[in-house]
Amino acid sequence: MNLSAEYFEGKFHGEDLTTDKDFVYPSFYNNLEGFTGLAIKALMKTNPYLSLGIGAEAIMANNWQLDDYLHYDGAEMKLLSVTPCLRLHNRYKTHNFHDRTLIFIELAPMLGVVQINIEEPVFDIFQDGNFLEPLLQDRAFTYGVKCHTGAGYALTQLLGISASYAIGYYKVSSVLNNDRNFVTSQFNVGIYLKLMGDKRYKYQ
Amino acid sequence: MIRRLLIFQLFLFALLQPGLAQKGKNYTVFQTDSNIIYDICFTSKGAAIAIPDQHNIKVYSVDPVALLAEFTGGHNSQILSIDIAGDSSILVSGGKDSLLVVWDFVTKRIINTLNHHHAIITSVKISLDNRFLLSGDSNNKVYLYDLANRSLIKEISDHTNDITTVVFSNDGKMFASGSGDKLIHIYNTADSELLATLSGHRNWVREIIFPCDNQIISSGDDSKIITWDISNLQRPRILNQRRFGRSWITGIDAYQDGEVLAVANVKGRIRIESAFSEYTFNLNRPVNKIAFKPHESAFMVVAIATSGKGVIMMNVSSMNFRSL
Repeated sequence: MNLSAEYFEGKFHGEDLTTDKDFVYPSFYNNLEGFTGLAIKALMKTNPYLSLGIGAEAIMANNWQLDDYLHYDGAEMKLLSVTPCLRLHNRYKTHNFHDRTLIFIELAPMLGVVQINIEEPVFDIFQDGNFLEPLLQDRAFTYGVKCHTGAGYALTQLLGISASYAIGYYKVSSVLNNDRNFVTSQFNVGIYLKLMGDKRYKYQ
Repeated sequence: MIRRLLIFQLFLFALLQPGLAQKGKNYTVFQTDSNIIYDICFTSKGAAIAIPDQHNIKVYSVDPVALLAEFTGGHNSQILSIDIAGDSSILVSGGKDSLLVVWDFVTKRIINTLNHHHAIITSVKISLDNRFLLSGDSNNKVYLYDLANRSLIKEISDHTNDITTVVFSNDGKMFASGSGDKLIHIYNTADSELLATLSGHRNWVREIIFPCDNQIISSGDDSKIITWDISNLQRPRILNQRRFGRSWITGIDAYQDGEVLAVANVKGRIRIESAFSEYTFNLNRPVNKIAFKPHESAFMVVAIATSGKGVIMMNVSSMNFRSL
C-alpha cells in the first residue's frame, strides 16, 4: 500500500463570461487567478498493473479579476472533496530502470463541497416575497472527475517522490454565481510512502 | 578441529595479504539469456552449477567455466527454483507454470512432469537419499512427493501465506517450510507430522538452512538472521538473532556446519561472516540466492543469483575484509 501527500497548483479554463437567460454575467471560477491545493491518498495494489484507493483534497483559490468587472473582487473559493481513485501503472520490478520508476494514469471521480465567500452581494435573493440579508457566503455540493498522468521515483524502498499533471471537470451549483461547471488543470508534486513492499516480486 | 583450522586460515589469509582487503571486481559472470536469475544449485562436489535461465536450465562447469548442458522443453514459463540430487542423478525444477519437472541429469531427458501444484512453485528440494521431493507454492501449500514410488504423499496447508522456501534437514529426517505468514514449520519426513512451529520473524521468512544437527538459521524481510536451537522440538528457542542492513534478506548459506555464513539482501549487499572475520561486497543489484561452492579446496567461493547481473561467482578473498 502507498500513502501519498501532494501539493498542487493549477488554473481554471473556460469563458470569462457566462450567459443565463440572455443575461451575461462574469464567470466566477474561470476568472479566479488560479488555485493551490493539498491532496492525500492511500492506494492499494490489486494486481501488478492496477491500484485502487481513496484520497481527499483541498483546493483554495482567490484573486478574482476580469477587466472592468468588479462583481467578485476579493472573492475566495475553497473546495474539499473525497476521491476514490483507480490507477493503472507499470509493473513493479526489482531491476534496471523499473526498480525505482513508477509511471501511471489515474481516474478519480470526486465528491465534495465548495465554499464561496464574496465581499459584495451580487444578487438580490428573495424568499417568500422578502429580500434576504445580503448573502456573502454559500456552500454547495460539487461532483466531478479528474484524470492524472504522472511518474514517481523511489528514493528508497520506503520513500518516493512523484509528479503528475491532471485535468478536472466539476459540476457545481451555487446561488452566488451562474457558473454550473468548470474545468481545471493542475500540476502536482508530492511524496509517497510504500507501506508494504512487493513481496511477490519474483513471480507477480 | 580441521574445521576450526580452516576458519582460522580464512582469518590469517586476509590479515597477511592486505591487498585482499581492497574491493575487487574479479568475479566470473556466467553467460545467461536473462540477467534476472532466481536460483542456483551446485552439484554436490561443486564441479558444476545449474542455473534456471527463463524457461530453460543451463549447467556450467565451474573450473574452467564452460557450458556443459542445457535442459529445455520442460517449462513454458519462468523457472524459479531448482535442485540437484546429491548423487547428481536427477534435477528438479519448478516455477510460474506450476509444473514440477524431474530431469535425468545425465541424459537431460524429462523423467516425469508433476502437476499437483495449482499455483506458482516457489521452492523445490530433493532429499539426500533421492527418495522425496519437497515443494512449496504461492497458494500456501507444501507438497511431499515420493520420487521412488511416483506418488504424492502429503499436501500440507498449515501456512496462511505464500511458501517462500522448503528444505530438508541434513539427515533427511525432517523438513521445514518458511512462509509469508512469518512462520517456520518443521515436519517429520516419515509421516509429515508437524513437529514444531518457529515464530520470531516479524515479516516474511525468505530462507531457511539446516547448518548442522539441531540448528536452523532463517532470514526474512525483517532484516533478521535468526539461529534456532531445535534440539528440543517441544520447546525450540532462539539462540541468536541479529540484523543485516535494513532490507529483505533474500539469501543465506552456510559453510563448515555454519561456522561461516553467507548473507545477501535485496539491495545487493553481501556479507561472509565467521567468528573471526567478515567479508563484505556490494553488488548494487537485488540478490535472489547465494550459495557456497561446496568442497572448495582453496579459498571460499560463492555464487550469487541476481536481478540485473545474472549469476556471478567470486572468491570471498576479493571482497572487503574486516577482522572482528
